[in-house]
Amino acid sequence: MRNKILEHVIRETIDTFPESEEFKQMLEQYIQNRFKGNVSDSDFGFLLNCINVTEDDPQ
Amino acid sequence: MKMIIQELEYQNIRRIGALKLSFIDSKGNPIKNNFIMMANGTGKTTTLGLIKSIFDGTADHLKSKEIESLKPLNKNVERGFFSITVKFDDTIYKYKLAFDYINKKSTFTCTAPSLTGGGRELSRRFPDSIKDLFTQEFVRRFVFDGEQATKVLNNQSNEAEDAIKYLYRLDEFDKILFDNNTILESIQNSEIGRGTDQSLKYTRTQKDKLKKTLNNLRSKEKQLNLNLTDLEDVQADLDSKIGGIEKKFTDLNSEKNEILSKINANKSDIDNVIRQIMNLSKKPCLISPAISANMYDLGNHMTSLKLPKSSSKDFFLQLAEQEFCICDRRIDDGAKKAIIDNAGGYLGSEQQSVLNIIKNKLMQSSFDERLNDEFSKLKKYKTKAYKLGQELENIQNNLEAAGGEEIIRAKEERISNLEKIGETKATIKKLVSKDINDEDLTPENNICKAQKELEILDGKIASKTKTNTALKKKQVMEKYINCIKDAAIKRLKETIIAKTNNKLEKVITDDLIKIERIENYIVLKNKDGASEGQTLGIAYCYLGTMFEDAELEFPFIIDSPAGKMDYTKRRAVADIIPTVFNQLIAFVTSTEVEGFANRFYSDMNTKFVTITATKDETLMHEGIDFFDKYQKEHREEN
Repeated sequence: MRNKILEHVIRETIDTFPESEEFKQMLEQYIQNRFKGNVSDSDFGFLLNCINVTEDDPQ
Repeated sequence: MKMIIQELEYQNIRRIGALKLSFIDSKGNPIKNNFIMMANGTGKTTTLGLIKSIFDGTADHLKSKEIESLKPLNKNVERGFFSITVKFDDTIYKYKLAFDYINKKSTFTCTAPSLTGGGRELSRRFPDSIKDLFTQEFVRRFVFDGEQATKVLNNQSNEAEDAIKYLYRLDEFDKILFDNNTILESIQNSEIGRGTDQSLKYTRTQKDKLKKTLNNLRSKEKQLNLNLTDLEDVQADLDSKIGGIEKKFTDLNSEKNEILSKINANKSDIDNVIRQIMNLSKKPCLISPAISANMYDLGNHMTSLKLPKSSSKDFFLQLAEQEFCICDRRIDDGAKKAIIDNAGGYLGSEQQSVLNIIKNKLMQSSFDERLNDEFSKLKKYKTKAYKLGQELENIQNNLEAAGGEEIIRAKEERISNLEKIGETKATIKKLVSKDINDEDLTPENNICKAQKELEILDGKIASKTKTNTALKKKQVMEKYINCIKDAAIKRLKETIIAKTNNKLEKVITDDLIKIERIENYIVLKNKDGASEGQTLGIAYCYLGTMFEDAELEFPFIIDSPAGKMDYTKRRAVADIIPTVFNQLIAFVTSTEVEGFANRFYSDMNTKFVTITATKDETLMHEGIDFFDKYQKEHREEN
């Protein structure tokens, strides 16, 4: 992403999310790559899996 | 990604037989600023239209009427083509639109080394990283015209906001949200075996139905936005048409007023000359040389009357003393008495002096040309009055033609078009409204309510398919992406406003123009609007800021960049453009050279091309000398 403002605001906003540093970095990287057209479906699926939520599906 | 236009090539397009416009130097390096002056009717608008249609994909389905309009009128040719050679970073793509004038069909081909089938495909292709970018919305931001520029300040338009969305590719966030939904669905579908009861089937059917409705609502919104753009274009055309007629009308009116004032002045001249004629007519000697001669003779004859010096009473008193009258009759006492009694009743000294004056006047009466001169003047003024009368009649006919039915029709169309714009906007507003308390809004007519309903159904399905975790993750991701998107739009707007305002200080020096906020369109601080020249200045500063900061380096292809800007603003804009655009290809008219194109005369990385046309052919002239000479000779025409 060439646009510094956009880059900065994305990073700044992601920083406020209650997620691990690792996830935040992955999300930022994913968005950067997405703008470069350099991602696959599995990348997004992997990112979703990394989101930490309470498992409440009954087995 | 850097995009450079390397060449445009024409063959048998309207008046152009064969023409290549190259925007690279002999070493293959791009030329930064390119000015092309095309004589009227040589295809400036056609060129811009073809470039747009190739990039935005509308060239794939040109109508037979559009193809027919490209066919040269004076030549019997069967085929023609228009091509654009573009360099994306290091890869060259050539897009060719070939026309079969016999069958009124067009064929699109794209040639690039990376493409399959020997590097040639019968479809529009772009580098992968930007392949989805070339929509109509995006292309119109870099293949530009003055009409588009004025939209940024038009409160009927979303142009200012859309320009941010498309040039910064913020729609990419919408695509992430779409993928987010798709993944959840795919997980839920894969879990279908876990829930096969009727209620799940029913919920899924409901969801499918609602999804269909939501898709329809989104398609409708997209279509309505396209319709709105078309309606706004029609509105701009109508405004321009009405403006043109009114301008013509104003010109005609001022011509009429000028003629009326000439008629009044001429009438006053006629009155003066008639007055003069009346005065001079009191001197009959001026009527003709013969009358003058007769009068002189009369005066001369009056000298032989030999009237007494003192008075005529004395004459009669003296006469009464004579034996004989001047009529040779004897004067007896009775006659003597009668003469003496009546002597006072005849000419006295006063009358004598009058007679003397008359005599003198008659003697001095001589013919000259003054009266004839006045009659000549009167004749001249009468001829002038006749001509002015005819001119007035003509101008009134023209006024009727200019401001008559045509303007009435155009104004009616404008009102009707405005109503359509209003209706379309109201429908869009209803479609996209987020007012959950509005009872008129239902999942069937509102995207937000349909989405909410879909979320409820998603929850039910997640529960039944035991995919609550996946749903939660989807919802969290949705929240994050929306959050980033909103923050990005807000920050971009703030930065763009600040940077544009800085540029505006340099461009518009004769007025305090500042952008207050961007709310679909640009809202100015303490101002309801701007002049046409100011609007262009604001639009370039705004777009310039966005091009300057956008991720992609695009060429800026523009028709009539200087338009009606005054020289000060032109010079300021001319100084800004090279700093913000990667490549400038400007199609200019001869009036746009002064204060704009000529600012680039000393720039080594600038090319000047002039396209002239004879009845049978189009000629290309490269270089400043011809360009400058041509504009000086033809600027009055524009």
